[in-house]
Amino acid sequence: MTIADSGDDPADVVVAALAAAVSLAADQIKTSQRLAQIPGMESVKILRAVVRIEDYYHINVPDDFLFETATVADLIDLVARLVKESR
Amino acid sequence: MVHLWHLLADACSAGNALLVPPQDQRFAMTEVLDRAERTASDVLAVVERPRRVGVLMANGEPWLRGVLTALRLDAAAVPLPLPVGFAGADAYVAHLRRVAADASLDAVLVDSSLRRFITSRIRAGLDPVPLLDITEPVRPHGPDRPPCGGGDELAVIQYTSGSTSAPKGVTLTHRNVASGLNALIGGLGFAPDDVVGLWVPLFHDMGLFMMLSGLANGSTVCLWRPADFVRRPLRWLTEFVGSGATVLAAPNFCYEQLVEAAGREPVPELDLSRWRLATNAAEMVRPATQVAFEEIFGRYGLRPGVLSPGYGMAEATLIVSAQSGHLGPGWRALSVDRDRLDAGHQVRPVDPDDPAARTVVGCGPCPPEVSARIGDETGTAYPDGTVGEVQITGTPVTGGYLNLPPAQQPFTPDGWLRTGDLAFLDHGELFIVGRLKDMITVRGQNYYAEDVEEIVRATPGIERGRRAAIAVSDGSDERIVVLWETAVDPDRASTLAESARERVRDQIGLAAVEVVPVAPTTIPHTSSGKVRRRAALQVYLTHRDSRPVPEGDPR
Repeated sequence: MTIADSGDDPADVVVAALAAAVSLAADQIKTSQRLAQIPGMESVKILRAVVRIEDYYHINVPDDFLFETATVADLIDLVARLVKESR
Repeated sequence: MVHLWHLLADACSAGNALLVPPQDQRFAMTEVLDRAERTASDVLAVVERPRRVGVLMANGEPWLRGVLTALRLDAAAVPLPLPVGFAGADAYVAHLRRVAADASLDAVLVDSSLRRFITSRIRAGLDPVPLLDITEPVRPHGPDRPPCGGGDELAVIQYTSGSTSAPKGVTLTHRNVASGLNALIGGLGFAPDDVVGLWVPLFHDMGLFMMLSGLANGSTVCLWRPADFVRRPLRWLTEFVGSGATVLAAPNFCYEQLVEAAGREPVPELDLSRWRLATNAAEMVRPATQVAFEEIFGRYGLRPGVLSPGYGMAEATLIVSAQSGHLGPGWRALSVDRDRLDAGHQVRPVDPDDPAARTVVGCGPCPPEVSARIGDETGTAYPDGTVGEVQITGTPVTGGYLNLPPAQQPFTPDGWLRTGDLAFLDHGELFIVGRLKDMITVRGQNYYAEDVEEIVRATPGIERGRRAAIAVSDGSDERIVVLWETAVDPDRASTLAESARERVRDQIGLAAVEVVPVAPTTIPHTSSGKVRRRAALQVYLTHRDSRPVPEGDPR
C-alpha cells in the first residue's frame, strides 16, 4: 500500500508514509514501535515522511513534536488530531 | 582590551538586522542588543554573578540574545545541544548533566522552543542549575555595571569534542573569538553588503561563529532551523534567495540534499546569481556533490566557484582554511593513490580512472590569523605533498580544553594544536584525507569509536567476545566498524550484531555503524595486547569484499 491509496485513516496514511521512507512493507511497521526503532530509519527520513503526510492532509506537524522519543502511535494520534482540527 | 560585547555592539547598527523568515520576524540589531541588556538584568535577578551560562534552545532571536546576555554579564556562553538525532531522552539528559558539571554552569537559558516535557526532564536532570526562560525580556533596563574583562577571559566554551562519556569543552577567550571572527570575515572575503543565511544549529560551532562573524561584519543575518531545510530543501532555497542572503555555510549533506531534491521534484524559478559564497565544511567534502551541485544549480544562475570547500573546527574558533567564493580561484580536486595516504607517506598522483585513485578536494588556504602545518607528534613539519597531522597555531586557536590536565592537552612540544586530522599541503592548500583518531564526523557531529565500542560491549549476548572499533573513511563514506570475535552461529551472531547497531543509534544517534561478527582470534593485536588498527581495517575490508553482493547493489 502506498500513501496515495491508503485512504483517509491517519493510521494507514502514517504507516504507509513511514514504510515508504525506509522501503519496508506497511505490515512490518508496528504502532507500538518508537519511530527511531523502525529499521533503517533516521531523522532525515522521518522528516521526509512527515512532509508527505502534511501534503496529503494539508496540515502542519509542529517542529516541536518529539520525533526522538515518539512512537508510531504517538504520531498517528497527533496527525489524527491535526486532521480533525483542520476540518 | 577586546571585549566581544563591545565589538559586536560597535559593528551593529539600526541598519543590520536579525531575520527569521519562517516566523516573519525582523529585529534591528540595535533592538536585539537592547533586549540583551534587559535579559541580562533578568538573569541577575536570579543569579548574582554568573560566570558560565548555558544556552539551550532552537535557532532564533532568543538564542543570539542568550549569547549576547552572557557576554554582557562577563560570563562565558556555553552552547548546549538540542536532542537532535535519535539519542534517547535519558542519554541526552545524562550528556547535558555531564556538560553542566564540567562547565560549572551557573544557569541555563531556554525559550519556548523547548517543549514542556523536555524542559521538565532537563530541569530535573540539571538540578540545582536554574533554567531561565528568556523568550521575552521582562525588566525595562540593563544592569548598571558595564561589561568589563574581555581579553583573555573566557567568552565561549564549545563542547564539540570528546566522547559522550567525557565531553571536552573547547575554551575560547574574547581575544581568540575576536581574531577568529576577523579570520572568517577576511578568509571568506565578506563584503560590506553580504547577508549571511544559516539553517545549521547555532549550538554547533559553524552556526555560532558564522552568525557572529556576519554580525561583526555589520551584516544582516537570516536564520532558519534545520527542520526548515531538511523537510523541504527546495522551498528553503527559495526562501534563502528571497531573503537576500548571499553567504551560506553548511555541511556537504546540505548540497547533496539539494541535488537530490532537484532530481525528484520540479525546481522553482530561481535566480541564484547574487549568491556569492556557499561554504561546504563541517564534514567530508565529496567531489561528486560539488560537481553535481554546480551543474544543476548553474542552470539557475549559480556562478562557478560559489560552492567552496572549507575546513574548520571549534578549536580554531572556526576557520582553519577555506576558499572565498567566486572572487577566488575556485575549488580543486586531486586524484591520489589511496594506499599512500598514511602519515609520513608522500602522496602519489594517479589518473582519476586508476582503480587506486581517491579524489581529494582542496579546502583552500589559511587566513593570515591562522597557520597550519603538516607534522608528526613531535611537531616536526613534513614537506608539501606528505601526509601527516594538521597542526595549527594563531590568535584564534584555543588555549586548550576545560579542566583537562596539561599532559592530556592536544599540543605539540612547541605549542601547536594537534587537530587529529590527516592532510597534505599542495600549493598552500589543505587537502584533508582522514583522521589519526578513531572518530568520524557526520553533519558536524563527532562520533568516537570508543563510545560505539562501549555500547556494543554492553549489548546482551555480545559482552564475551573480543572487539575492535575502528573508524572507516574512504572519502565518500564514513562509518564506525566494530569487529566482534564470536563463535556463536552466524544467524544468531547477525541478530545480535543488528541489535547492537540499533542500541548505538538509540543511544548516540549514529546510524553509520556496522557490527561485524568475525571468527575468534581474527582481530590482530600487538604483543602488548593493543589492537593493530591498520590490520584490523584490512580484516574489515576483506570481510566486506567477500560478502555476497545483493542484487541492485552497485558496489
